Amino acid sequence: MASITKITLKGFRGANKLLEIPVSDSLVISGPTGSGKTTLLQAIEWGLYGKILGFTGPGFTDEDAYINIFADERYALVTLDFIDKDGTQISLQRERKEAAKSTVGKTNVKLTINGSSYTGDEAQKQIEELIGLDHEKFVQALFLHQETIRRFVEGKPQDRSAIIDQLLGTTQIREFTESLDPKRKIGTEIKALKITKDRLEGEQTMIEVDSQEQLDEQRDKLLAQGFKKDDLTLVSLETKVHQIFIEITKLAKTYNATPSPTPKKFKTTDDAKTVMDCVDSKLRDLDRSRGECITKYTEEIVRIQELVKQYDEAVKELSKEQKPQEDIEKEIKKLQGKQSDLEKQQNLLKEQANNLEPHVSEHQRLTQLIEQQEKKLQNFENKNGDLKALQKKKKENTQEIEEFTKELKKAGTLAQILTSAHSYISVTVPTSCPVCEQDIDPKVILTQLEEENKRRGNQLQQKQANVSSLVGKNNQLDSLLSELDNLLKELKSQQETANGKLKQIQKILGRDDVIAEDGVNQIEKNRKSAEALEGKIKMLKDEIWRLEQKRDGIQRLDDTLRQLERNLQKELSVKLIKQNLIKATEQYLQEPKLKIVQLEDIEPIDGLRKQLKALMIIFNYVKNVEVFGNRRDKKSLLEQRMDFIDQQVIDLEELEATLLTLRNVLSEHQGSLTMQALGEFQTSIEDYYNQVLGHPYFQKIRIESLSTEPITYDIIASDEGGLVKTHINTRFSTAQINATALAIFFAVNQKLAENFPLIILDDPTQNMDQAHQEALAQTLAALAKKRQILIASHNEQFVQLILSCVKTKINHLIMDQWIADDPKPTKN
Amino acid sequence: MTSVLDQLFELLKDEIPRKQDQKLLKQLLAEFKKDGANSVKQAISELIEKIAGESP
Repeated sequence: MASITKITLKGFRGANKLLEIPVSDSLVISGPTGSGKTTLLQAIEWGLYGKILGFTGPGFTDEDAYINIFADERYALVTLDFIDKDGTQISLQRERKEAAKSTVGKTNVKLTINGSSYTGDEAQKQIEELIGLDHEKFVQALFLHQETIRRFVEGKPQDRSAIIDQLLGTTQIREFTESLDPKRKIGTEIKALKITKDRLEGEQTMIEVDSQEQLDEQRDKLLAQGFKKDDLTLVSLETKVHQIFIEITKLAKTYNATPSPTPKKFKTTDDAKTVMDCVDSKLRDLDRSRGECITKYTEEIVRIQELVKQYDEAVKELSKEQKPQEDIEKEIKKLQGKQSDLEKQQNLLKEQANNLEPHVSEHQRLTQLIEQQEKKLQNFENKNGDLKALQKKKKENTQEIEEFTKELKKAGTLAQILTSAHSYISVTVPTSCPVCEQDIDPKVILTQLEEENKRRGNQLQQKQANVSSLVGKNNQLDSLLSELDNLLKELKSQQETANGKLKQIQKILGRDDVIAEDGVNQIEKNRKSAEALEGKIKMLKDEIWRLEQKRDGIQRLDDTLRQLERNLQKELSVKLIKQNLIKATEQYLQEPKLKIVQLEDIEPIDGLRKQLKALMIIFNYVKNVEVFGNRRDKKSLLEQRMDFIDQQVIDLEELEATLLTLRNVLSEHQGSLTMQALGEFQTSIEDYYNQVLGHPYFQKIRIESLSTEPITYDIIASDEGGLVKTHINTRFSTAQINATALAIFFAVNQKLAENFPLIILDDPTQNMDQAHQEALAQTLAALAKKRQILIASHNEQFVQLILSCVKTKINHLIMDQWIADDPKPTKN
Repeated sequence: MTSVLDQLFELLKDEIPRKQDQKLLKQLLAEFKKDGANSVKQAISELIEKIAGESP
């Protein structure tokens, strides 16, 4: 029996390390979610076919999901060792490297059979012959993915139909059939084309083609108006328009207008229209220039006339003012003389006041100083007494000092006597007095002498102190006397200076009897007189200013007259003055007046306008001839375009019909294929359904077609007699629907897995209770006798059931973690 | 291995009377083999655009 003997993978999906799994018999792979169970089963699918069911779409295009994202080297390797039905050893190696510049890698495959190697497409062809199935059938008959079960259980009727397609092998036909649905797009295109056609029809309707007869009628009218047949052409129109243009150029010179460039030739009526519009515009410009010329000449006449008027008025005005001008000059001079006298008198008064002012103010200052000095002297005398008192007191003190001095001398003499007596007694120590010879005690006498001497000493000291005190007082009195003397001297000096100033004031005023206050009064009087003179001077100045203004006005009038005269002379180019000049001006103005009369004639421009208007009639006729021709062409084009759109619509409708035909044929074919497959599998499906599910009420099950466009199926369960029927999705639990999916898979596997009897189940017990798990385990145990079974499950209870049911020829691989180092299967 | 699609044309051509329809089926089956339904839809879109394109 053909079977897989070893799976080796590295860098594939979740396996970032090298995993070598020997698989001689059936294998149950257990482990928690994410431990790598599914990766191991996917490695078999990818190893055999280079692809995995469901690995399509943008995510898988952007990211190479086959290669492990954490491995050091972005390289996926899967090696499968197996034996075929004849027992031949086969080794298959598939590898994939991530491309350098993108995340999508390239897959290489190598197949070795009995030492012969095959690569690429040849290797793939060999593999599919060995397995006996292509990839579509492999996932239909050998490998039941957990996603397939989940979609079958949870999906909508369309999803479930797709799964049934997958299990029956009609998926590709369904996908191809459904891709032939062009209805919406073709419908949109047809609608857009019809809108375009409607628009074109509208355009066609708008074209009102003038008949040839109408054109002929218009031509005859023109001929009747005097136009010649040869005039009614574009060439003739061009010649005539150009003639008008030449006339315009001539008039432009007369009217000082800007000359225009030569107009372009008439290739079409559009050119003619452009040039004729330009001619019309030029005529308007000419008219504007003509008006500007008239304005210019009129303005010149007005300007000259105004100048003459001003000149005439200036002459008259000046002649009136000639005599008063001389009187004004005299009056100004007289007033200026008066003003000069008054100013002198005013200056004299100001000078006198100015000379008095410093002396008067100095006298006033000195008077204040004298008052302050007298006050100071008074204070001194109040405090210390006057000069006589101080001198008397000094005399008394001096006498007293003399008396004390005399006493001092006496006391000194007595002290010498006492000292001599004491010396004598202390040396000689007499016992009797040498004078009276009475007995004496020298010691007593010595003591008495000493005491007397001491008393006299004290008295002497007291006297000396008195003398010193009196000397001190005398010194103070001297100081006071000196200070008093100074005060008196200063007072005297100030009085003398004040008298000096008074004399100067008297000298300025020329009087000996005035006192200082008169000076102040005189200053004030002088100032008032000066102010009175100021008013008079101002009045004189105003009068002089007014006369000067008048004189200046006459001067300006004279200047203006001269200027006007010069201007007029310049304008007329003559050297005439006054009346002759005015007459010459009148002659000069004759010419512009004549020009204005000429410019006011609008006939030249109007004549050209009339010509242009007549040419416009010809132009309309020529234009109609051209439009008629164009409209004929355009109508033809529109008709062609609409015919083309009609053909496009027909072609699209035909394509739509063809695609619908193909779709119908394909749907029909898919339906017949499905029915055929269901006929083949029906008994087998029902057997497995009863084995795995064992429903107590619905023992029969059938897959029936619900609709043909698109084909959808439903699974109908019924009782043994076929009397009670139900859709499985309305009454069956998810576990029961799951069991139904497994039943269909097992039936298909039984039919198709002839070359390679293998069943791969990934998490088959989704939502199942223990009873159904046991039933499934029993079914698989029966199948394991003739097939290699590889099951991945995280359901430990089911794993134990499988191991206990199959008993022999089954291994158990526990995958703790997907990064596990070399997990080894254990023999059951 | 010959897939169902490879046999499809031979099985169905007799049921499609017009030659141009048979040709289209053959062309679309070839497209389907390239990249499945997406290629077929793209081919049909291009056909429609070719027909409905601007007039010359």
